[in-house]
This record gives sequence, structure tokens and C-alpha cells, in this order.
Amino acid sequence: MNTLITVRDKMRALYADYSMYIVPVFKFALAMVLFLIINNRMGYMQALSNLFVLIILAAVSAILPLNAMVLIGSMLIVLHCFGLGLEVGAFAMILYLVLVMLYFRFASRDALVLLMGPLACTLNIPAAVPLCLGLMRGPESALSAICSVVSWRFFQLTYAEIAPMKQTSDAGVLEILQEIPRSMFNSSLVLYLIAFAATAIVVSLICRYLTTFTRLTAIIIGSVVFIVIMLAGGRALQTEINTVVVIGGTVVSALIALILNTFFYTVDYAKSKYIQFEDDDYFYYVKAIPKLKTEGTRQEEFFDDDAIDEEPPLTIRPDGTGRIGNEVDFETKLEDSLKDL
Amino acid sequence: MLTKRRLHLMIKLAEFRQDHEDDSMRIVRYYRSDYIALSLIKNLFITTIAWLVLIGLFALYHMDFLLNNLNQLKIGPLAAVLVITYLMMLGVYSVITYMTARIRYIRSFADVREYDQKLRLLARLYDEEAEEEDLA
Repeated sequence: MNTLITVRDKMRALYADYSMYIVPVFKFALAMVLFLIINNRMGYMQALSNLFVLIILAAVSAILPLNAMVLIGSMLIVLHCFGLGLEVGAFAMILYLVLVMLYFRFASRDALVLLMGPLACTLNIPAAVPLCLGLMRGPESALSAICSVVSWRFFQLTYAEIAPMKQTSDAGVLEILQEIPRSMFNSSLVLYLIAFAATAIVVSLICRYLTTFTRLTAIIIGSVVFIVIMLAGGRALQTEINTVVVIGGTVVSALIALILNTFFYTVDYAKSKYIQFEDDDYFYYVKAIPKLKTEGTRQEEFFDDDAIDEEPPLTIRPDGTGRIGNEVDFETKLEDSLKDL
Repeated sequence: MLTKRRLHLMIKLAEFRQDHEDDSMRIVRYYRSDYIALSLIKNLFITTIAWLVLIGLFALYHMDFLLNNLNQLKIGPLAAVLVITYLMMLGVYSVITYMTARIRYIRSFADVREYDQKLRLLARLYDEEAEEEDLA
């Protein structure tokens, strides 16, 4: 245990000093993995199958905010679908647009699940998504988990069923458009939706409301819930479920969630900040390096909070009128000056 | 004259401005009612587009049925169902939009209020230093 704490503290110290380099490298690595898997499974547009294109896209994702990676990854999926067929690409574009319009405009922080769902399910560790969502967010993360299942199911459907159908038969545009939702919304999707939502809700409720349980217990219980729902639900809905893959994948997912929880979710990774500002006399270039304080200590405040509380609130309205405490009343001063005139 | 206290305060203010210029500080430029109204207007357009897309997908999925029974379709009840589904969807999303916009505005206002108080303290520190320099 002490070794883990030592490693974690060293990681915090390293992040505090070199976060400017570490964050882009991690984002680049994650983006490359995501884009390689998308290209590996799809690859219907030759122009995007080039490794250099992926490297450039991953580099762009590394320097932009995290949602840019989601946008680029989604566009990659949509463009590969257009390479497969115009109707498939149009459906992909509409699907992702509808998900953004109906849900992710309220929960933009969780947009990464649109890509993490396909990644986790392709690697046969689907439970990692709801476990991590439950640890990081509240019960509302079940909706994000549901969106990740929809994204994964469409991703899987494209290379597993639609591509062979396009290559082997002369199905028309309308037939393909009717086949996609028919194949997508089946008992397998319903089973995964229930399993993902229930796991995310159970884990988040245990973390939030039951103080006697630790996060480790939440992960274990969440994993058991996922396995039970998948196996029992698979039998009830007569869906083909590989028991060994489900149990093995869930165990690996639980380990991943435990590692992420130990090293990332419960640690305050403060990073160095670069700030610049000026006043009438000087330009200021500041590098703020965080102190690695232990849990339970409070950083000493430099300025006097009591002085702030004694001051009446500042009210500056959007149209520019207002007063600063009780000292200056602009409206009265303006009236007085007009009287003098 | 540079003082440690003033410098620390300026750094905190610049850090807040750098982190919140695109969210909290942008939001509180509106009155609360105006910000919520703007969010509801955006919601109206987005929900209408999403509803049209979903209806289009539904129609495409049932295209065979629609084409075979085009002459038997009753326009009145069909239009009523479409309007009711639209109003229900718009109502639900309007409530969600109102609640999220209100919560966002209240949180942003609290953050910027604290920023204003520190800014006023900085102004007072500048005045005090100017008075000390005059006396000196």
C-alpha cells in the first residue's frame, strides 16, 4: 500500500512540473489508439486509412480540448460510413447529430463516451465504461452510458452486417436505411442498455450515498451487477452471450476502473499554470507551481477574507450603471453635476 | 511599488479571468431572465430540428407501409399526433433547458461576485499605496 502511495505522489510531483508536456502526450496516445481501432474496423475510405493522416489528426486532437478528439473521431466514423455508402454515411451523421442535440448539449463533459464505448466493446471490456462513469459522475451518468451503447452498436453494425450486405447483395438505398435501425435496435442492444445503465447507477449511488462502503466495494458490486444482468438477461431475451468473455472482460474492466480510481479519480492533480497580466507600471509573467499538500491540510490564505466580507457587494449592471458599495453613487453624482451646469 | 499581498491578489484575479473568461464571465454579462430566455430560444430551434430528423427517420423506416396506405391515411389525426409529439418533446426539453440554464447562471454569478469583491480589494490596495506615496 505504501508503495502505491509513493508511486502516486511521484506521479503528482511529475504532473505538477511537466503537465504542459504530459497532457498532450496522453491525449495524442489516446487519440491514436481510438483512430487506429476505427480505421482497423472500418477503413472504407482509402484517403483516411493512411497512417500519416491519423498522426496529424491525433496531433491536432492533442493540442485542442478533449471534445475536439470526440468531434474528429466521430467525423472519422461518419466519413468511413460515407465510403461504404451514401445512405450509411447520412445515417451515421444523423445519428451523431441527434445524440448531440438531444443529450450532449447538456452533458458536454461526457462526450468522450461516444468513442470510449466502441473502444471498450471492441476490446471486450464493455463494463469499463459504466464503472468509470459511475465513479466519476452521479446517477445521471446512466444516460451517457446509454449513448455510448448506441454509438458502439452502430459502429459494430457497420463492419459486421452492413458492409457484408453491401458487398454481397444488391440492396437498394431504402433497404439499407430500413435494415440499419432494424438490426441496431434488437434484443442485444436492449440487454446492453439495461446492463450499462444499471451498473452506472449502482456504482454512483454507492459512491455518493453509502458512506460505509468504499469505492473499491462500489467497483466490485457494479461488476457483479453487470455480470448478473448480462447472463440472466441474455437467457431471458434469448440473446447469444459468451459467458467466459463477459466474466473475463468484466474482471479486466474492474481492474482498469480500480487503477483509474487509485491513481486518477481520487487524487488532486494540480498542474503548473502560466499567467500573464499587466498594470500601469509592469508586465507580469507568472508560473504558478502547486505545492503537494497532504490530505486534511488547508492552504493558508494570503489576503484578509474579513476585509472582503465587510465590503458591501459590488453591483455593476450590464448597461454600465451601478454603485460600488456605499461609497460612490454614480447616479447621484451625475445628477449633482447636471445641477451645477 | 510592488507588494507581496497585492501581487498575490493580482495573480489570483488573473488566474480566475484566464480560467473563466469563456464561461462564467460570459454568462453574467446577461441578466438572468435574458440568459434563460436565450437558452430557451436556442432550445426551440434545436428541438425542432431534432424532432424533424426523428420524424423523417421514422417515416423512412415505415416507408413501405406509408406508400401502400397513402390513400387511406387520415390527415387530421395524423397531424394531431405529430403536433402532440412535437409539443411534448418541446415541453420536456424546455423544462430541462430552463433548469440547467438557471443553475449555470446562479453558479457563475457566485463565482464572479467573489471575483468582483477581490477586484475591489485590489483597487483599495492601490489607493492605500498611492496615499502612502503622497505622504512620503
